[in-house]
Amino acid sequence: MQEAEEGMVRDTSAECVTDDTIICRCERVTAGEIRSEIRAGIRDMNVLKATLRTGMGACGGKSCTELILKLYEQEGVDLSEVTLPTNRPFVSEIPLSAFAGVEEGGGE
Amino acid sequence: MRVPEYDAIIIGGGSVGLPMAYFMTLKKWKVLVLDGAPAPGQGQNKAAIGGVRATHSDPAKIKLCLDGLKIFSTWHQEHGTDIEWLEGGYCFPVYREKEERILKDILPLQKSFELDIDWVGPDRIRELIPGINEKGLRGGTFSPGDGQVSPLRAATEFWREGRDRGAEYRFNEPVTGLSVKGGRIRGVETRLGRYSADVVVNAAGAGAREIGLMAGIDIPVVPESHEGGISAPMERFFDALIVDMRPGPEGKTDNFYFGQTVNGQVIFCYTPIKPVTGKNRSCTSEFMPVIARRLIDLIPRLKNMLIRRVWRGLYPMTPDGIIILDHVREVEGFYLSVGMCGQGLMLGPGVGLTMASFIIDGKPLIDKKAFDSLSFYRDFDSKRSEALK
Repeated sequence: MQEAEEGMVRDTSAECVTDDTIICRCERVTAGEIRSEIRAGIRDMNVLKATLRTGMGACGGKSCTELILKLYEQEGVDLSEVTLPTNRPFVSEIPLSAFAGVEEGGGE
Repeated sequence: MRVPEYDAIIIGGGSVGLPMAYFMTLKKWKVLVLDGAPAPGQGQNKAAIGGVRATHSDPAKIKLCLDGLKIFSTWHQEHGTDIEWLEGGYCFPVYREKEERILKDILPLQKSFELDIDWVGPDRIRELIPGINEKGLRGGTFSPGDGQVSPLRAATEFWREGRDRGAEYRFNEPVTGLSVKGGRIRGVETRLGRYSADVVVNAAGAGAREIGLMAGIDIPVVPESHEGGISAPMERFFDALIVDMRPGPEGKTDNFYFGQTVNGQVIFCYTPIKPVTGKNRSCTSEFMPVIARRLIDLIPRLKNMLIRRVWRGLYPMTPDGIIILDHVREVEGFYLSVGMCGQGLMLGPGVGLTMASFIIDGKPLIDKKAFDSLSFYRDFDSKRSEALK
């Protein structure tokens, strides 16, 4: 390991994030799977949604989007080439009963 | 003599353009696909809920979708990749005499095309849709050979297969002009350059009218928006795509339909009783309360389902609700594959196959009579209407 210059905070994330590290926790997608798509030329994160399901889980990409952008940077991709995934409602999951104005629970 | 760069240029890399490009590469054509979106299927393809059925009442649509079903259902076997095909059939549960009559009246036609569909009693419907509201349930139709795919996965795989066979794709590159000389198409223009070909196909979905106007051709395709939503994954409890044809008591909905995807998410949509024209794709606050009541009324236990996401997509509608496949007489080499009326996903592979054959070999794959019924030059005001959309 190289010593960081005195007084500098060295970014070690590239070494910490191995190919087995989970990046999208909702859908259990690893850094290795994402890196291989990036290396295959995928620049639209909406395609990652299709092929790997990143951001398709409960959180809707609230945690993995930034992490995937970091992986793009580490792979030497200019972020101006990267298309962000589309953000859609809802911020969190909501029971159908809440929309219909009926009581939740029971009904089985 | 000038040699064009491509055999064909397809405008639109979505449900229709991607299969067409792939089928053209199988016939050794050099193809360029242009799309303004950053990746395959990023227009309306990904807004689809994924249902694929051949059980229509229009002969041309039946034939095109039979081809599509064959391609989707054998995809994994043929290509080794997963498009999340699930052969769960389509089920139309019926509560009123009116819908029973409509569905029973078209059964003879559907059976004449050897479609596997029949009327089944309430007991069978209860098996197919566990927990369905039994009050007044008369039975319904079930067609086990229909199914569902993931629209975005299907689009992605058509793109990969086409690319591996030499088709070129330029995304983030909307077409800004068509080059027409002496009544003949010569190519297309984008902000990045000009590309030449003697064949140009308009497969631009919701943007088809704008593309036609670039060649002075007014195509009667108008986008209408529909909203959709999806739940969190649940244990699988039904396989069929379900269509409730009744209009809703709230006065907002015509039919509504839903399915459970391969990973257990329930995906749903309704047809607004009053069409919403235009290209606005922002979600409304009306959709969820309206569809929630309809879903809970049909299957009460769905009230506990967690809703994850909602969106809004565009149906490129024609005046008679039937698609347009044709060659433009006024502009030699300019072809139309437009106006899918919200069924681009299920029609796409069959349309791609028949158009590749029509363009390259001079004759469509489906029979001439059926193909001619999709003509751009038909009488759109003839009040032809499908018994079942």
